[in-house]
Amino acid sequence: MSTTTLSRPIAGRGARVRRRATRPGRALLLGVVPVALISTFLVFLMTYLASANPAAQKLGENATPEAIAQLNHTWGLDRGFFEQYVSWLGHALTGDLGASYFTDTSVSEAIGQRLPIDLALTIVAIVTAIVLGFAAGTIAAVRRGGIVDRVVTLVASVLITIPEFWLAIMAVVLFSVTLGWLPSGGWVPFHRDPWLWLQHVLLPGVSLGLTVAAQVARQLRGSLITALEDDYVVGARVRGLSPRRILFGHALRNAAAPAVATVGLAVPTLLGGAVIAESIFGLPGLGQYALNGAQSHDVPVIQGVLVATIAIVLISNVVVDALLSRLRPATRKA
Amino acid sequence: MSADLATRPETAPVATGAPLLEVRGLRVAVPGADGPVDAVHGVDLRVGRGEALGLVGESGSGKTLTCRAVLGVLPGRCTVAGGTIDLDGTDLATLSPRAWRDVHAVRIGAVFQDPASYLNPAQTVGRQLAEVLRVKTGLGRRAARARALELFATVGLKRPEVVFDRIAAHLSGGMQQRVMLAIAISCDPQLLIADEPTTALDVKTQAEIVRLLRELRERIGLAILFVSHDLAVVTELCDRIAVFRDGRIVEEAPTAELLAGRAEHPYTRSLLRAAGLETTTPEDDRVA
Repeated sequence: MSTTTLSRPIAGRGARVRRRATRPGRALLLGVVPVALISTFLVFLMTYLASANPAAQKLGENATPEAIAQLNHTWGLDRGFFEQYVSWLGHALTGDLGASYFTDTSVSEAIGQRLPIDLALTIVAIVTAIVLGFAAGTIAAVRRGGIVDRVVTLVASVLITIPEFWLAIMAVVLFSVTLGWLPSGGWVPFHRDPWLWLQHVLLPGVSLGLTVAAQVARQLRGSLITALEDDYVVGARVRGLSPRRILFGHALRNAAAPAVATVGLAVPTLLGGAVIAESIFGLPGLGQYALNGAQSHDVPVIQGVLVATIAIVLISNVVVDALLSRLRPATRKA
Repeated sequence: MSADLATRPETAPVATGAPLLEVRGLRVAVPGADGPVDAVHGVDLRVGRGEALGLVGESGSGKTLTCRAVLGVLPGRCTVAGGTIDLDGTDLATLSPRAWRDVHAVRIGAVFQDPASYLNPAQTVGRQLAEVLRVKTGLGRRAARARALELFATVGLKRPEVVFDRIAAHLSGGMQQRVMLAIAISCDPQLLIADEPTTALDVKTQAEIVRLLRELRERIGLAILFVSHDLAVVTELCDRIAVFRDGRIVEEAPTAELLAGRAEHPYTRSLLRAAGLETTTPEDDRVA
């Protein structure tokens, strides 16, 4: 997304630091709304062009043309393209993504039931990436050239090349099969038992987040080493500040932006990875639903899943943008 | 210490008793192709209480390395290879990093050539000054802010409360240097190390900063170790001047002596002439 900026805060002279409140509003208007409109239009266009007479499929081989026409009319498929699009968009904006062609169940409801599973995996993965990535990257940068640094660099390089699904399978083999610490699959909703929920979400979530953690660690190590050699660190030293204060109060904050952006940009990948993790761990998530929908040409289901994904990615972009602009005041200049 | 703002440096009182800073035989080694090589070869300096000593010389003459050594922040893999740096009884040459924290800001303040790069680019300047006050003088959040605004006013920043919320990049060069000065004097140090503080500024701002330094000196009795390649600026501020060349001090004399044409070393004369400050015309025009 275009609103994610990594520019160094040198630009701009004389201008005052903009008030924080104005920026999210502008970003929303200039970035998110057009992207949302264009991407949802593309979703509709593609599914429109690809749909192969679902009424005939549903009614089977013996359906009369009249019955098919009747069903197409019920579904509104006999209307013009733009009429269908506007009606679909209007409903989508109110949270109504229509009903499945084949099961007649509400798509919004089905997504509402399944999405929390993928969101939980993604959030656990993000937390893993941030906690492990920042810890490893910081230690490696501070103890640059030491044993910890070399181990972190090596492990990170290896992790980045390993696909998440292989990690997930290895994690199951180690923690479920061999050690028996965690369940190898299945799902317990959070509201039923948070503790059991955590046990079920931990393996898929953490194994999903390890690759991003490695990326974050490498990114942060590099930018933190650069930051620690910056003159402003010398400036902080001659002000008599302690190494800890210089690291956490100054260098780390400034070096964090690229790493935070790395996490932000990884959200779509993590969502995709969550779909794969679902099938490894046998979770009833969005991926299974989307796969079934795609195999049966269930257009409302496909559209609904894509729209929900777009929404999540856009929301995460807005959050990352807000975080970055807090980390670097100069990026607040739109 | 005279409080008269009109007092010219050449009439400032001569420091008596033990000097505030005494550097003896300082050698600084820089990394070379075949191991460390000395870039500063045995420098001796004395700065009395409230006195201003100017270090002049061309780039690479060792004046900046000398003052970086005194400040304990030598760049890269440069090290103090020998000598003592005595600040009022403390040998800075052998100080541990932990002990340096009680010297920096508290006993020595510092300003540099490029003030913006020595400030955190992402934090408001007020916050950085308040941080020093809170850490070093134990002030509370609100008291630190109030003191910071006072200090900004002291260094001649108009509308301190506006400056407080700016980041360095949104201030002019002169304002940035004033902010650095406010931070440097925030914990009442006895010594200010000023490494080319006026070099990056335009002529008018340069004069303002020099005037401010002279004022601070007279008002709070600050001793100043002033580094510059611009002899004209140095003579404006300093009581004595040490001339650096190739890592050695070739001449050290009171400013008044040099201005009166009593420079002994030909190199000093050539510097004076280059700055348009020499009045007499000695026969040896050659640079040694």
